[in-house]
Amino acid sequence: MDQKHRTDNYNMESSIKRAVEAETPDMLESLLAECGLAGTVPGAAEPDGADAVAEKRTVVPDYEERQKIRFLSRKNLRRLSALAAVLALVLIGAGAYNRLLREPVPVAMVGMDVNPSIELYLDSHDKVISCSAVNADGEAILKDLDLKGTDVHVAAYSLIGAMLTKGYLTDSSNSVLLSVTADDPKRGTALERELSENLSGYMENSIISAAVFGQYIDGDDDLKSFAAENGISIGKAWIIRALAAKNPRLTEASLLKLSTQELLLLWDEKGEADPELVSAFGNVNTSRYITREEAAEIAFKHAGVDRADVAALDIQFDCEDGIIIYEVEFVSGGREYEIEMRAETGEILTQESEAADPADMDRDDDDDDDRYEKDDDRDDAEDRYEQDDDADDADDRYEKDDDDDREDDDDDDRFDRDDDDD
Amino acid sequence: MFDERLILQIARGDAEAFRQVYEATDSAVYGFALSILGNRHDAEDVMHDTYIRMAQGAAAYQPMGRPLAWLLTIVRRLCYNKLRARKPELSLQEPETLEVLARSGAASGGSSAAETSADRRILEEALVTISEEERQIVILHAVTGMKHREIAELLGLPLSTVLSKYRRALKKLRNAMEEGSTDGSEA
Repeated sequence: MDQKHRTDNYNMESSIKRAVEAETPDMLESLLAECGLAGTVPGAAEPDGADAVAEKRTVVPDYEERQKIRFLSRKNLRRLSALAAVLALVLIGAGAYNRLLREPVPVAMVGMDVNPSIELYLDSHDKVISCSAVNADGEAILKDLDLKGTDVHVAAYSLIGAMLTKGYLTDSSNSVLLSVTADDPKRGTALERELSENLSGYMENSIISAAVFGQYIDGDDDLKSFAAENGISIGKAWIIRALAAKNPRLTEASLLKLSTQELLLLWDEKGEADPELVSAFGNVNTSRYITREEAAEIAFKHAGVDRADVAALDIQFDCEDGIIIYEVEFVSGGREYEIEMRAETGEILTQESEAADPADMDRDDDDDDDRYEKDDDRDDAEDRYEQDDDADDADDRYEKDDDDDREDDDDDDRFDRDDDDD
Repeated sequence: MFDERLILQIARGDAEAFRQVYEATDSAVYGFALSILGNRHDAEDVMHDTYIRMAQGAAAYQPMGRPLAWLLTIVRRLCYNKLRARKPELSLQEPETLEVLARSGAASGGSSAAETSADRRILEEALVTISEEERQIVILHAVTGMKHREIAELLGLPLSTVLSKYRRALKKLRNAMEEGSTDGSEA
């Protein structure tokens, strides 16, 4: 690549940079105002409005100050509403008065399960009204956090941060379940989507490679009592019920013995959830188990068959009495085999075989369709880019770039190995 | 790049810190959003939401030494939300939106009219001629000062892919410039 190209590239990039900078809108002041960082607080009485605005660069209340300001104005509003309540009392009666002064009623609930299980109750502005721990680990997380009044996203980040810090979230124990239920399903599903996206994005910059599963659920009373009786969160209860309903061999009793991560593993494997209501980012870590390949090897060896003679192979995670297993099914020599083994060790648990029914040979197609259905709707933008087949791929001779050693950012080095087709 | 300690200061309500972060990153955020979404209006929406999210998430920010990548990850997520909300058949290279882009707004201060329109022509070309991924890579490289390796991490691509797409994109742009094509159609 010659000097001219290098210069051209440099000039083009400079042009692009200038053009983008020229177009970039200036929204700083409105952002500062919206974030409440400009020294003024929306809704609060401001005696000398103009001066406050002019001084906002230098007079910036710190966080505690702002909280005080907010608190004060809220107190004022309470007085006003109390006054209105008195009037209402005169007109309507004691019932109305009580209702006005009671704590806000939650309109949504966000549950987070890792090992700790925590539930956040939200008001209509997505702020946390209260939170509760469903298990002892959850209490350990909550005791150091004061989440009341915070925005649900901030609360979620804080919870994840605490779980990372305290070692509940690790490389091998990497899965998070978010469950949202709300009075308004539309808002609830949107909230679930947003939270799942944001959290998985947030964790992309943490040390571990996390998996985030989100679901919007209907919190019916049946579900709540099932959850309460078994000391689990509503989110987990929902998954257990869904898995048990669709898979005859998975009993609720067996599923109740599983950790959140194990449940998510099965759910990912077998769940047929409505893509509008669930999100999934990342993969449940399976490093503690043998691989599917290894499971297949063990199964073939145990059955005494040759890999080459095997057809209709299907390997799935499953659960037997609270233990995660591999279920390996295949056809060989006119027989159908079903072999189960502990997923962690490969220890064979059961083996069955019978003469094959020709109708079963096509089983694979259906299973695959169901299993991957949700991916189609997942709208992973990355998939869209995989079809990027530029017409001039013929020029592609970039295979041998050993770029890992290239530390410096020198323009010249960058273009050194460019093709010489010009 | 900016000092990530500023983010922790933003969490404490420091407007000056917010201002500094904004001024250090506004073109990067806007440019990246533009490179994904292809239209100015949506890019502005995402830019706005990004900074709001940043302020909200500042309290829980864990210093990892790469604050710009963190911020641009927020941009990316918000862009994909927007893409998901669009109807699938809407192409990112809609002629109308890009024409609007081409004709929109006069440049602010500094550059002469000739320089500005020449710059903008190249940006338009970049938005139309090259592929979606190439566009993201070129704009990130041109505007944010990120190295190829950092871009690869941000976009979730192998480094070699980023390098080859980058070179290919610039070659396409050079060819387009030489041919003098300005009508925005695929070469």
